[in-house]
Amino acid sequence: MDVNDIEIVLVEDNPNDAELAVDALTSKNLANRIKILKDGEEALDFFFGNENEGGSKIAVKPKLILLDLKLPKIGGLEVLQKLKSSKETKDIPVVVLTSSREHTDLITSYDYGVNSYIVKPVDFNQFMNAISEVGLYWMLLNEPPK
Amino acid sequence: MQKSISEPIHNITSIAQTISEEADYSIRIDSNSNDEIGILSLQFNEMLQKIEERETERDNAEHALLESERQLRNIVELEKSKSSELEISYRNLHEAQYATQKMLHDLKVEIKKRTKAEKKLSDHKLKLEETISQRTKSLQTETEKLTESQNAMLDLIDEKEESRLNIERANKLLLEANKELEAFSYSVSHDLRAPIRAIEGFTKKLLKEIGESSTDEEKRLANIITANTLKMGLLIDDLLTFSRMNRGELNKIKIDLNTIVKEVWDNLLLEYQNSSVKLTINKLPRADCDSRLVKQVWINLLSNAVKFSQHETSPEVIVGYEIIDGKTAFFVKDNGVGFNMKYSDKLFQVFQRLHTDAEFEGTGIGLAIVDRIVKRHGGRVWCSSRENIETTFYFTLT
Repeated sequence: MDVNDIEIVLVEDNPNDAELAVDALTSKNLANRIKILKDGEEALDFFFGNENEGGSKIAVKPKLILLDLKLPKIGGLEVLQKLKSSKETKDIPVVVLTSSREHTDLITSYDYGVNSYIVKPVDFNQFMNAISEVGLYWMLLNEPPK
Repeated sequence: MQKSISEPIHNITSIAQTISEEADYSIRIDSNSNDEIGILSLQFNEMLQKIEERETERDNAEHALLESERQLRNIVELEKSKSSELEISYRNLHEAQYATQKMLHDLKVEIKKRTKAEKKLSDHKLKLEETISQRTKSLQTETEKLTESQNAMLDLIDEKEESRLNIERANKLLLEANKELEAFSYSVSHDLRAPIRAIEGFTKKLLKEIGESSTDEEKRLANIITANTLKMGLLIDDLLTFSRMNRGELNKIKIDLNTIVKEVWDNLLLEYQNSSVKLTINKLPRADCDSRLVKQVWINLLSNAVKFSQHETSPEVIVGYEIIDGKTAFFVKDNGVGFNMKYSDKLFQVFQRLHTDAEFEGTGIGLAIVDRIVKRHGGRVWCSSRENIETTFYFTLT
């Protein structure tokens, strides 16, 4: 799969959550062009290139980024801030998908320009519904700037 | 002839009488005769001349005598005046001497007086010096005392500064602890939820994989797993709420509790749609409190009241307030199962329950949250219960 064909980027360190999320998206036939990144560093490297490898930037423009907040190495909030302050990536819809209901996380995320903030439902069924609905909304209903 | 002789003699006699009477020796007898009378007259005149001369001589001598007498008298007068002057000078001298003596005496008296005064002064001075020395001594003592107390005060200030530093340190530790707690609750919220979801999710996935072939027992076991994950999720949520109630600033404002109670009740009825529970709200006074936190108090107390009275035939909840010990005590009363008062002290502790989940579901955190919130407001919560008759929870916010 060519990186330019990638439609959804899922940044999630928990493989179980990632698998369930992919299941949910698959049920709506949205998971064919999905890229899973395991931490904040991988996410920044993916969008802005690896500094150690020359920092070559790839112009990736997926239709949706699903971002967990608590990530190893570089946290989700920092990734969000970088994405939203860069001219090339600020238009990409970012949906924070997290277990955190912490007030500061919410405030900071909106401050940085998040497009949507979803608290992962504890209940499995609700969780599956939430992911698939988010996928449908942003992939099919939302109209991004051309 | 008779007449010629007697007349000149008479004349001479009269002249002699006049001379004798008047002592005028310049008178002369006028006679031009050459007779005896003439001679007599001549000789009379000569005598008169001589008398006159002598008279003049005598007069002159007398005059000279008078003159010398006068001169003498002048001298005497002069001498006299000189002597008087002398006398005056002498008197003056005497007076001066006397004055000097008097002055001397006065001086002596004065000196005596002065000496006495000086002695007195010196005595006074000595006395004064002693007083001063005493005063200086007592002043020194005072100063020493003052220095001592000043030192004590400085020590006190030092101590105060130290305790201030201690408080600062403690505050810093507290802040750190709070931060740690925040990080901890963040971890709890994030990390504990994920495995629960995974357990539930993969249990469901497993059942799906087994598909039609799964037995009732397999389904029952899967349900137990799912129910427990659900319970675990609720526990985590309540614990998070509990820790959140402990943190953050209290935002106290005057609020209308009637509105809050009504709102909470309406939300609660959505959960208990089949319940016939009746609520009576007596008018509540406004209260100075953090509305978000106090709303949580009403949520927990009212949901408890509904929960524990739901099996009654005509469940009833009453909200109101009383003045107890001069403070406004709000209450929530129900006619539910209640509890034995001997366990009442356990009610407000975390995870302490007086009923099983089979009887009444719950996490055992709700009342601990209530306790924490009213304490943060400076109030307290307490209860009274008669089992199956009446249970009342009171709380104050001051």
